[in-house]
Amino acid sequence: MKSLNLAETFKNTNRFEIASFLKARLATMHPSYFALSMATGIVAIAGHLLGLDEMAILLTWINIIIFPILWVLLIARIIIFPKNVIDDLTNHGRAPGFFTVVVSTSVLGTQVELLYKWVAVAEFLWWANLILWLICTYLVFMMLTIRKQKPTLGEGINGGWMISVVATQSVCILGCSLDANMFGNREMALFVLMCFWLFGIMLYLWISALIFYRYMFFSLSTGDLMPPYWINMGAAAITSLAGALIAQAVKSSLLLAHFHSFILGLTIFFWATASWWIPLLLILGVWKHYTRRVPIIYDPLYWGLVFPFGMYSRSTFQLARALEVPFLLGISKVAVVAAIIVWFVTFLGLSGWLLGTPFFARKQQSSLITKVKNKQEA
Amino acid sequence: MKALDLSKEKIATNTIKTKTEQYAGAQEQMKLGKRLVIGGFILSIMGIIAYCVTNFNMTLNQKYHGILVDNSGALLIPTLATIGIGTLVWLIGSFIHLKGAMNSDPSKTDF
Repeated sequence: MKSLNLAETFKNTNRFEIASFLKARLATMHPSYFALSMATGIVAIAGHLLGLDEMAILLTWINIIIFPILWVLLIARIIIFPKNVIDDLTNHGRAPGFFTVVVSTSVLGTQVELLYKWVAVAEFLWWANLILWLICTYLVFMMLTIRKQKPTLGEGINGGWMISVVATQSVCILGCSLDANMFGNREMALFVLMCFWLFGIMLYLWISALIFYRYMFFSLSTGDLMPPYWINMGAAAITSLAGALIAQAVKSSLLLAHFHSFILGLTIFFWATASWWIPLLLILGVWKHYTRRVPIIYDPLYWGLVFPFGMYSRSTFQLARALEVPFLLGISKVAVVAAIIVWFVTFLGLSGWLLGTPFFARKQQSSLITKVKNKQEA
Repeated sequence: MKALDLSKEKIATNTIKTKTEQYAGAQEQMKLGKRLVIGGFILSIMGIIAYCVTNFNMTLNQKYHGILVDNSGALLIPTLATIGIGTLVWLIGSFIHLKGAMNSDPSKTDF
């Protein structure tokens, strides 16, 4: 009996089966899949700032390839499965995932500006970032507000909601990277960016209170601790990053220079908050995977775990610069190494999921491989 | 007639034996694939850590005008190569495992 040749296997497989398989995947694609681009981008930026240029260039080019692919998939999903997209927009668990589109746009803009000085591209991406933020913020919150049947707090709130905070801060960050030159009036632009930073703080305070309340007063199962719970830390870290960038930018502003101390104080507050979350999240992770023996199986939501590590590294680096305290750089370096490792593991998980390999893959065979094997046996 | 029946029996027995051998071979492929996946993964992680440490040392070396660590720049390419080799080994292991999975007994799970 001849052993199966992979190429022959897929040649013999019914094209209709492959198309159905891909269509099914597209129909149920999580709106937060742009977290893949977000995570890749932020790890590249953090690597670049700390001198890991080869890694930064590689990840930047991976992101430049991934970003349009994700857009194609999103547009295809909107056209082919509009009902699924609307269902996601009214789902308290999945709707915040759309904000990852906003963040990934900003992260890509920051990458190309920092690494290649493609200022025009970065400016275009800032305007796209702003428009997407407006659409996502007011569409998502409107749809969730007017929805007739709503889940309880325990069912509806999760760490993914913090992506709305991340999205808001991302507008501020890319704007600061462009030195507030988008409007032709730097003072006005800085004022707008500072407002975005404050919007983000307002959202963080509202949402973190709800999440903390949910963790402390509702029963928490291992299933509730999805990878996006790390975004609790990521949102505080990005708020700190935005604050550090704004603080440096307003030094030379006639209008906002006297806010410098206030901004710096809040920046340290949010960096400390992000640092506070890390040990708790690590302990909860150990509880979930070691004590409760929940296996680590690849899930697209794991990209939401990679992003906070990269963001914490970058925000610590920027805070060290803003405060002129070099001892924080050691923390930034440890965080970037952790970020690269977690990115790599998650990337292997994604590849393994696609290939059906033993680790970080689903415990059951993919339906396509099963069909192929059954066909061969027949 | 009897000779025909006997030869039919022989074919059936040979087919069963070949199937058993095939499934056993597939299991071996999957075991080999798993080992390569784990090995490649560990090698890549070690390469990432070594690459980061090398780069940080280089930066420190530049900052202190080369008095701290000598020739850390020479380790850059080997560390990147380690990451590349580890990833390649992982990929090869994945394909070997996938091939074994496709040849394995469909009534049993592969994990």
